[in-house]
Amino acid sequence: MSLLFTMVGGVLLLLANHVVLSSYPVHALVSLVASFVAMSVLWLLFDAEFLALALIFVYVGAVMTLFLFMVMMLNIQSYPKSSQARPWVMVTLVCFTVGVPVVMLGFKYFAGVSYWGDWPVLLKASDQVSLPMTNTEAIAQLLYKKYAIAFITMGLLLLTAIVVAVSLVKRERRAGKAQRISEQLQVNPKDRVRLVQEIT
Amino acid sequence: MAMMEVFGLSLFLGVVAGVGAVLNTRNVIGFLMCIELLFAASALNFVAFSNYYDHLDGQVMALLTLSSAACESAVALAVLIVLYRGYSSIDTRVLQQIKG
Repeated sequence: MSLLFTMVGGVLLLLANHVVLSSYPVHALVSLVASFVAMSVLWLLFDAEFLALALIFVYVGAVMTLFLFMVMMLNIQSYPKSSQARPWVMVTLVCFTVGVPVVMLGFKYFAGVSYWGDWPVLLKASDQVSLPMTNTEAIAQLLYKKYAIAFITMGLLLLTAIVVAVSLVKRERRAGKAQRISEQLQVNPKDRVRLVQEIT
Repeated sequence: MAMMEVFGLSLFLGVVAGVGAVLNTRNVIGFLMCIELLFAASALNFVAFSNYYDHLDGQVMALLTLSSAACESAVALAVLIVLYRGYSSIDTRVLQQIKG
């Protein structure tokens, strides 16, 4: 279990570095998708089955797809060269964020020297007995009873996000020959009929 | 697997995301991706705590974090579309033109 966590965690950090340092947005997005899949595996290790799948469904399947649609719509091929990080910045970031945890883990497992002392251990094996309900049902017990207000507020937040996104993006005028009924009904006769000459 | 290793993972993920946000301030899409990474790191922290204390509140909070991250990215992408329509660029420096 610890080995799996270490490997998946290392992969996650490497993918996150690729997201940050890549100069092609599509590559960065695919790395972000892969890092969310790695994070989903980590959450499965923490017995968060519903959340792990919700991460794939919601984050990868909706949010990242939305990002990809944006990148495709705006046709962004690559970031400009002047805005890319210098090589030394890239190397430093990767070495620091991947190297330091590896070194600390190495100290812990090979030399027995832990930087933070003895900390409690996760994933106690005695917890894995037959549970009365599934993880989804247990989250539902909390979400709809104790955190019902938070849940409803989150729904309102989502509704607000929909309204905001649509109102920001919609264009004012429809192109083409479609009728605008409200304009037709607001027509004034004075704008349509002009008196040219009185017949006496 | 000790608790601190999970914190360390969440910390270093957050560091990557934070440094990435600084490096990617010029382009909006890269910046938004770093914000997503930051949300994911905090959700990992919540889930780890939930597992340690055998309490599902952390998982509920992680779920709510996920949905607020989705809201935030939807609105941010809508703003990106408006920016692109106005300036045909995803460079954030064009926003300096609307100063004053």
